[in-house]
Amino acid sequence: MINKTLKIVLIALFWFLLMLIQTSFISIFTDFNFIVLLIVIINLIENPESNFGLLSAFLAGIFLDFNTTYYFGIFTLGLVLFSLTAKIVLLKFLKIPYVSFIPKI
Amino acid sequence: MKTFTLKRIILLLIIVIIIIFIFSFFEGKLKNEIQKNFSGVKEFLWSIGTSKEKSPAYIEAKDDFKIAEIASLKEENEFLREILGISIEKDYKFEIASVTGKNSFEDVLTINKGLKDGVQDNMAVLTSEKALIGKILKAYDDYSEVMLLSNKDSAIDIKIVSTKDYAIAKGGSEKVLLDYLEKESEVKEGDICITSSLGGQFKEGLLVGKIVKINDLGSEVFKTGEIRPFFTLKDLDKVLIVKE
Repeated sequence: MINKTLKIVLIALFWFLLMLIQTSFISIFTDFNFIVLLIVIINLIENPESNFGLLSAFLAGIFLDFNTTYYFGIFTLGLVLFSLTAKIVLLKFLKIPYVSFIPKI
Repeated sequence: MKTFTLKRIILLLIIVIIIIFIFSFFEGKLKNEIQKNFSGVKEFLWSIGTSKEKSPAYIEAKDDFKIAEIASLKEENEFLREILGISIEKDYKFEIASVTGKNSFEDVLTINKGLKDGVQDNMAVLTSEKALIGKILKAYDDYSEVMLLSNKDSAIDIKIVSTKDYAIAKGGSEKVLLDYLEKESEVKEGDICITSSLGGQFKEGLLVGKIVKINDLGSEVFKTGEIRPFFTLKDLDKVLIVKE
């Protein structure tokens, strides 16, 4: 249980740090959002039965929502919905080999 | 397949919506706390990206500001002010702020000054060379969001210094577009634009940009074009907020 909580805290910290870098340093050079890209990639290549991508989508979405003037929740809901759709498609219809080094939660 | 049954998915979505709903009540406070506590880190990261050497557009503003100021003074018949040496610094009250970041997918900057420092919504934000960057979109307790000129929701009344024509500078996602310029206008590329007091948003005479393109299509009622502002994101480390 402690191990799982620690994992979640570490994941949250990772996305928070990435959000700080994205909204400050990276945004000077490009409008492209690397957080969204990472979430998409993780959800497509991880084990579809793992919750890592889903949790990441939720946390990254929340942090992105704190850095926009759009309606609060738009990124959270969008990324979580994408993650769920990807998982359903990958589990039910499209079985592709997944990358094993992404931590499983 | 047990992990993602329809029941679980619906339950998960409901939980996410409830969390969003709860967070949205405290959105302002949470945003403010994050920005307040991490503004130092963000300011540092932003400063790594900004360059010490300013862009040509930024440097140009110094000379163009003088041209615009003189034209404005002449028009207002206030030569005396110039002779007496009363400059814009004495006319306005400034608050200096540091840029801490830029929002994702929109032309909105965050700065480290807010309501506690006397910053309020719709105040003008300038570069140190007195060129307009945008206006305060929303001021929170400890930080503020600045809507850039290039934001798609931005539209300001401008005046072209050389011809005294009025037009509108609209945001066009990373661009500033010139619109509603009269057909008869003899504006040419390279002309300087300043704010006009017509719309009541800003005081007259703040530098907006230089016209880089003019489109005169026969089918359109007005002339359109493109304006190049006197700054790039890399130039913006410190900004001035016009308080009065």
